Amino acid sequence: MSFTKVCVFSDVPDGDALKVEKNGIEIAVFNVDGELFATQDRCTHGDWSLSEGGYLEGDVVECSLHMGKFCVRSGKVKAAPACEPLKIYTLQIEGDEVLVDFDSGRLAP
Amino acid sequence: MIKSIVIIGAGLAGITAARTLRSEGYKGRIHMIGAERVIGYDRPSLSKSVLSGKDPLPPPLIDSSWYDEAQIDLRLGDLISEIDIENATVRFQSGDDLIAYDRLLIATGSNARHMPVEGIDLEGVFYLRGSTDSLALREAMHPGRSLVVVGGGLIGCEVATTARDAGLDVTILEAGDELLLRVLGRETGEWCRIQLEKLGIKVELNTLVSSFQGDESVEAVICADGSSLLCDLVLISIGAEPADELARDAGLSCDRGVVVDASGKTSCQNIFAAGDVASWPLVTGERRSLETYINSQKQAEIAANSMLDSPSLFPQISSSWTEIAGHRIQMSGDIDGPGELVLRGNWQDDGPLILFRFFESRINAVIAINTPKNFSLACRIMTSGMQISERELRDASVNFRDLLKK
Repeated sequence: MSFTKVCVFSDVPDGDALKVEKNGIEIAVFNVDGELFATQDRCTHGDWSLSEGGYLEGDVVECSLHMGKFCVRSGKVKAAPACEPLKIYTLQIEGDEVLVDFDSGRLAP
Repeated sequence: MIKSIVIIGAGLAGITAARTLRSEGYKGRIHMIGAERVIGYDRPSLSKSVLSGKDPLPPPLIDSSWYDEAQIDLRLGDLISEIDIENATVRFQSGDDLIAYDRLLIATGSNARHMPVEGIDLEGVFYLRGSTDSLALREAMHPGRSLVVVGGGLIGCEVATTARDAGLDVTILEAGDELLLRVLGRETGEWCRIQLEKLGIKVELNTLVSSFQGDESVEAVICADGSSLLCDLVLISIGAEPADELARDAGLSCDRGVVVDASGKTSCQNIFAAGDVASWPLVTGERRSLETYINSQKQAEIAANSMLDSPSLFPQISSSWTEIAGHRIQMSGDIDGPGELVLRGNWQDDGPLILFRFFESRINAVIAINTPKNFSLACRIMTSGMQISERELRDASVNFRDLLKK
């Protein structure tokens, strides 16, 4: 486990998302009603950034390219055309700081 | 009891409909017939990542294992020659066999519009519709060769971008007085033309092509004004025509596409249509074939539910995206129409830019250049029907997300 500070909490407003990157690994940090979640940033279906080109409603992000949907808690597919789930990452809050373990990318069971 | 559903077409609309039928719990047979020999693939990539070689082949829409898992009776490389409405059967072109249907979905897509001029059959003249077209054009796109793109719409401008990146000398010939007029409107069309010209692509507006010349291979394009342009390759990209011949022959109501209601039902109660072939009602009260990925997918979901006798009416808002001269452009709604155009940003910039058609205090259409987040938010504001002021649209300090929370 090695956590990297990626932003402060206020960088990700409620209902919004922020792209963070380390060594070429791009992660989207989502704020769902005050709770943060981290998934891979790139949609598994098309070449599109979910933090920049997605729309978060509750805990589901809709990709604006093909309208595929994913749960940002689990990474699971919620609507076609996406077939493959998103990788999720471990995230920690320390005070105001948001930390992500960039090596923790995994598919939810 | 519905026991047999036939889907003519194995592309995005056909596959999406089949996925929806299964996810809604339909357990009967699904026959899917595709004219191409390969399983359904991502068509938008044909003018972009496939043509550039970044993707060796277009990505499949769904993994090949799905067809068995979902128990789809898939028949590729075959055509239906006839829909017999009275007996509720379809007949294959390859033989005399028939399939009976309880519900039929026509999802045959569209064909590239042909250009019936002298020299059109010369080697080196391409259309772009299917995977084989893209691979053949890619094979011919050697750096240093010259390509003339006839038709400055989305596909023409996308291919021009890809070919220029690959080191070809590219000229776009457009009959209208601006590029991309139909889909993006004059302002965005002009902006795109300037971006394409910055890449070194030549654009000739108000130019009609009268013939192609060459021995075996094309060597020159002859324009209506008598001028000629030497070239090694030609792409014809002058639009698409809904592939509605079967429906017309069967006597279904057609008008530049199979006429359906907003649940996807045709003039015959157990026959449905979705995707490019369908002339689908729009929220504006008009109807047409929309020729977009997003709308095809949505229509197929709606039509699948209708086929299972749970219809709901969904008039469409055209929604699409493109990549031109390295810029990602997303659009929703028709940019031509009543009201005024309001721009957030400055046309002199590379973006981000977002253009609205603003009518009666509401957003009627959005074009977003390099600003996907604002596109998603603006579309939500548009579809919610929320009232908004011109200042809020124009002022970059106004956050669309905050407006949605109101």
